[in-house]
Amino acid sequence: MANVTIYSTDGCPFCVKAKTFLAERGISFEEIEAAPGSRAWNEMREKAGSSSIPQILVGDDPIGGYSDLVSLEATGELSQKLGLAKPGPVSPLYDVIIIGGGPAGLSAAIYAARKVLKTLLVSKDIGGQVTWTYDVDNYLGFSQIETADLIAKFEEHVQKYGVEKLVEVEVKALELTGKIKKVVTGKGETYLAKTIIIATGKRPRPLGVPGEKELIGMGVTYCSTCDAPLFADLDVAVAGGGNSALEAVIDLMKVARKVYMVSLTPLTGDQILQDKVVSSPKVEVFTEHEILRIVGDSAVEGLEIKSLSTGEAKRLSVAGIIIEIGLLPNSGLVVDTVQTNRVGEIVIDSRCGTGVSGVFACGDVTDVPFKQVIVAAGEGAKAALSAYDYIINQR
Amino acid sequence: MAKEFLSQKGVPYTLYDVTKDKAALEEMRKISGGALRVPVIAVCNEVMVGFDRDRVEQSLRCLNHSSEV
Repeated sequence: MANVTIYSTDGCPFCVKAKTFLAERGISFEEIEAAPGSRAWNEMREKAGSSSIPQILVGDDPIGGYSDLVSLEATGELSQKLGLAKPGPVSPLYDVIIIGGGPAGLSAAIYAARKVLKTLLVSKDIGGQVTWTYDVDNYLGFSQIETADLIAKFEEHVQKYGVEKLVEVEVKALELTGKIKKVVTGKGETYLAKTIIIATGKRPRPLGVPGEKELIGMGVTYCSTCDAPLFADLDVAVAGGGNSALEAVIDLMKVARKVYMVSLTPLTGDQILQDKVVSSPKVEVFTEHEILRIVGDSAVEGLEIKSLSTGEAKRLSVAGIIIEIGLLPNSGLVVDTVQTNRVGEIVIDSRCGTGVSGVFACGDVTDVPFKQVIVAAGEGAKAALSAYDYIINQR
Repeated sequence: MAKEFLSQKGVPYTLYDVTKDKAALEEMRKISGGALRVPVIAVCNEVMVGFDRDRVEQSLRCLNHSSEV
């Protein structure tokens, strides 16, 4: 194998990335400290023809910085330069990989395919957050449509363009800074692309109390529309005080025996919903109460709550709890790479750009105002067209 | 997704809509130890809460055995 030399300095993030990249592949290298202005730095400039750091050389052949390293690996040239056997079949290079299969991701897939971009969609599911509701109102063309029908139409539409899909697949890691982007799935497979569109949506915010995680599905749920009918004839609780929580209580009023509503604050949802809830004889509301724990061995048996004003603790005997205390953006994979706002949403510009070249984001995971299906679909289209523009301008 | 998977595998199954069938809902809660989530899938003596493709695939092996015996 040819000798690899890397000129680096302390505290340069791409030096660390380049070294990790080499080490992970078992490629040994000599590291030369090249502080700007030093003798080694001058030597580097002479050999590599560039003064940016890091610079990597294979033998005497300068290959550039970290992003060049990633590109060379993607095309298989790196192994050639190193004198190694060609690696086995690698992922084809996609023009765009879309992560997420909700309205934003699906719409992006259609617009990308329409521009004849080689497209791959990777998602845990199809439909995303929309599937948490029974029906969708006022999506253009439909005054009201059942969610399942709308999603089926979306999917059929995407299928028409023959977009490649990986469904029920979780993305474990993303490498976004190089020219060639990398997507690593939970199964350890790697996919390469020129651009990435992040459309990962939001997830329910957990309470973060003992018993919650352990009893998911055994009485703990975050989706009243999905699960309310299963609570028939039981005593149940709803955590939260906003519109979603009030709607959950209203869903449950129809089927459950008794509904407790526990909110950390005074109720904040629409007055019309509050009136419905407060006037029901089935409902008991505890405002300014904290939930301390969810009790139960293998299934939910009760809740411990505490009044914020008096400090008085109480136990409610319930078989289930629906948690409706807001949503969190699924931005964990990129939070180190792209800019996010106070609530963790990816900050985008008017063209769905994230500030990292070739990386776009759309839908509820972003800071776009008004989280609506139709907004997400429009944003998906924008992200795909921006990815197309980016690729065209790279040529 | 679970229904599609079973159909693809050619496995016959009985579908209970627990939102409409109270007896089935009771039965589901009982056999799953109190699950309040769908789907609950029962294969031979195994009860699975939620749909995990790999786990369902494994559980289906008991069907092959019983048909051989």
